Amino acid sequence: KLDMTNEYEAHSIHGQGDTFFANKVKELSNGAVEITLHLGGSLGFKSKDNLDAVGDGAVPIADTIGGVLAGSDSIFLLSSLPFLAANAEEARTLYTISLPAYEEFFKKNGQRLLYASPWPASGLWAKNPVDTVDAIKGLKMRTYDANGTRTLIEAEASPIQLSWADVVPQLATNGIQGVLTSAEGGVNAKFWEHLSHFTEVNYAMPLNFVHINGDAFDNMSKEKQDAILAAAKQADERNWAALLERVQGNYKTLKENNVTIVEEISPELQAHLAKAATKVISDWKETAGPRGEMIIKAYSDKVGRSY
Amino acid sequence: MYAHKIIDSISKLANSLAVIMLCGMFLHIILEIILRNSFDTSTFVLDEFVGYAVASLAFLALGETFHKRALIEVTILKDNFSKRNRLFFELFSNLACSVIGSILFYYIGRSVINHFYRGTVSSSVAEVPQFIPEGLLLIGVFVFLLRVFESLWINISLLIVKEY
Amino acid sequence: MDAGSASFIVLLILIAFLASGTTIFISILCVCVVSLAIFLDFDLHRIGVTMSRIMIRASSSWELSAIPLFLWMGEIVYKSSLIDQLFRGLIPFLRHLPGGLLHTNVVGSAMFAAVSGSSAATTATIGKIMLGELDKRGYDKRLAVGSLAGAGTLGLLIPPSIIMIIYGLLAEVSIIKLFAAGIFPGLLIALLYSAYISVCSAVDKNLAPIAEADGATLLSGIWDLGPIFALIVLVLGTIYSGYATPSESAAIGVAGALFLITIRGELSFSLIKESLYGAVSTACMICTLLAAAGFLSTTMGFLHIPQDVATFIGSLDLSPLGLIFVLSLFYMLLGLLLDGISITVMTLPITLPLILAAGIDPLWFGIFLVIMVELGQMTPPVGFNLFIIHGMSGIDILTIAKSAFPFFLLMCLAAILITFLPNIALWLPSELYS
Ligand code: NA
Ligand code: NA
Repeated sequence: KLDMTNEYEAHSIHGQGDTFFANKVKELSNGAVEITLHLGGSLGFKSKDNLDAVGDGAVPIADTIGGVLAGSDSIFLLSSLPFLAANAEEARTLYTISLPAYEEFFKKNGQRLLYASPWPASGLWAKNPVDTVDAIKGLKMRTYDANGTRTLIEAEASPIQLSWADVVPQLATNGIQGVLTSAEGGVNAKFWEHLSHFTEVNYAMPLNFVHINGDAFDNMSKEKQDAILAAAKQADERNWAALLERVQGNYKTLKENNVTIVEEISPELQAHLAKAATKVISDWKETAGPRGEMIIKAYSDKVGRSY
Repeated sequence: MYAHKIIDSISKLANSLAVIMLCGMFLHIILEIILRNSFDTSTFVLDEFVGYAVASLAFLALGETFHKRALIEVTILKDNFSKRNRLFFELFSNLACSVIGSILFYYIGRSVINHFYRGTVSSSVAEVPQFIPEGLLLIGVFVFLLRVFESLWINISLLIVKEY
Repeated sequence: MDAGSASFIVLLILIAFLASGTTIFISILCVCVVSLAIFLDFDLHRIGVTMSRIMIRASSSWELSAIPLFLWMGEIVYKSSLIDQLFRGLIPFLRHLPGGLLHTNVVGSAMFAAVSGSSAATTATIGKIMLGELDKRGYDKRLAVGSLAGAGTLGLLIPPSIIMIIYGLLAEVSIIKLFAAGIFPGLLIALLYSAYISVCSAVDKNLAPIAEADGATLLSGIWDLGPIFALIVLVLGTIYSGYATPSESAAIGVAGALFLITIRGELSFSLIKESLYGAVSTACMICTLLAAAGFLSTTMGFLHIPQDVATFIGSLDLSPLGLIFVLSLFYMLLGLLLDGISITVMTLPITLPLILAAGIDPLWFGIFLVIMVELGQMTPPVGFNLFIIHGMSGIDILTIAKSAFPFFLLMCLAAILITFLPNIALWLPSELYS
């Protein structure tokens, strides 16, 4: 019996992915390993706590959004770097290239990485289409991490930091004009009650990491270990595959609620955002050192663009 | 007594730090509101910093609040006993406080040391070294323990010299 | 060990620790340590790392900041002449009502609830301002304390409300509709409380002294209420105009109170200092309690108690009304030990599908759940409103719980009314956003 914590709700993409993983583990180990899922942060741990909580053995398994680990290792800002991956395929390529670095990090902290899965791509939620440079300039938007804040400052928008619970009250009273998040985030919080447009800019697809305590894993029998690893592999496959379906489902919900999905943005805005992103990416390369440089280079070669 | 005086001043100092935390979070929120509404910008770290301030406030004031008996307790059973027997309740309570306080002190201390040597910083734009906010909590638990040991010492000596 | 007997034993250990007179937050932590050790064989290391991590996380919370700040605002009002003026202004309005100033707890809590999202902040602020004054003026303690314990919980039901935001995100229900749905049930409860106070005071004339008129008229009353009214308008205005978020409104309240005493020439170093130290001491008591409660819910999570019981209820295959009845018992039992947010987060993944399957409107269920959570705030052994009022008045917790019991029953009555007349909750949101 193993406890597993996750900050996100049961119906979220990661809640469903972890449920799939837990069921698979039980099935593949013939019931010898049972994972008790504590979703929605019901165990009291937030993503920020998970690295220490798993390392110290407070909980054996956790699902953690990558961004919060950036304070321990800047490699975790990679998956949320702006406009690096244009679609799910590229995000996966980036993940495959950086996987050894992630694995090494968890190993160094007495843990083992089981799998990582993506969030749907974030875009710009607002009352208007944000498809021109003029539309984004001065737009007061809530961002979810330091990368987003830096990018939007570079893009001359006005990023605002707010806790997620304050977002809906601020939207309802026009305290902010937009939100940088995925279509999924907007569906969960019913943004259509306040906003009418989702501009698909494919900003980034941040990763969530599922990690297990090293001792807990090593002390298990070979059969149990194999069952967990096999289930992790299947969960990994499933989550990347489920992404597309998820996005389509979200878009369907948005259309039902009269949200306009803006798929085309002006070439000027595209260039404007790319320029903002270049600054953030090159700053990141500086802090991440040669390892970061190598990953970006390998990735550039793979996708045929240079960063 | 000399030891009591030292403990007293340390505890009062920590309590004053807690007051500073309260002023600090007030000023930070006001600043954020002004920045957001008048200048369309943000400090970008409001919920992070205010979170540190609330936690340090609660922990730093713990020693003084315990000392003033403003941490609440159920006295209904205790009140039915003689003054001497009530001391045993006090002793039990002090022991429970020492055990929990010591566990918290050891494990928060361990976390502070780990953060310090690994150089963990927060993932926000401010990149706050994590040993600082947790270190403030550690100081709070330390002051609480001092006050608990002081109370334990007083209750034991009362029991021995029978001056109740 | 099954969930039922495990939770029963946890309850017994907690009562034993509390009865020993150990500080409540330490008692709660002791129970968690003992339970994790005996039920789950956790070693000291695992208990220690879990406890320290959860205590740090539960106390480092942005949402918690409203508590010390509103307490500070309350201290400023209480320690300045604003408090005398407030009561002078209320007298001409409430003089002819049986119960007189006792209604200030209810009216004050309902108004304050429109500003603050938590019941702890509501109870602590109104308690700070009202309790001492009511006692000084010879009002019956039991009615004063009981009505505050009950009305203080309205902070959760009358918007804004932290727990509704959490429910809305978990259940995918519109948060603004939840806010709208909470208004009439909140007013209904306030009305029931005021009616009860009036009836009690009319029957027993000793409960509430006849307020002295000393020349106060309705007009002078309005004038005297002006400053407090301005403070409320300022805080509400900044929230509803979007200048501040509900979580930030406490700081606006402090700024407003400071401004008021400045223009009245009462601003002094000693007033600031005393109000700050007073607020810090109470805030420390409440925040450490909440952090300990966080560890208790982690412990219950590891023991899997709420989930097991909720799964059991699912297996009973009940009719919608039967399901509501069993769930209300379940939530009241959980309310003995756990705080509202933990209850919501831990049980909803299991109870929400049951509710949906039974064809019950999740918007309505959100309001019902908030009322259930409010009931838990007034029941011992872990009842935050009881703790807070004890910390402010020094009256022992069981007496407060007994005084709160009629108000507990009145809230149950409100829950029943809302079950049979769901439109009390659902009419306003359907009118506003259909
Ligand atoms: Na409220
Ligand atoms: Na309770």
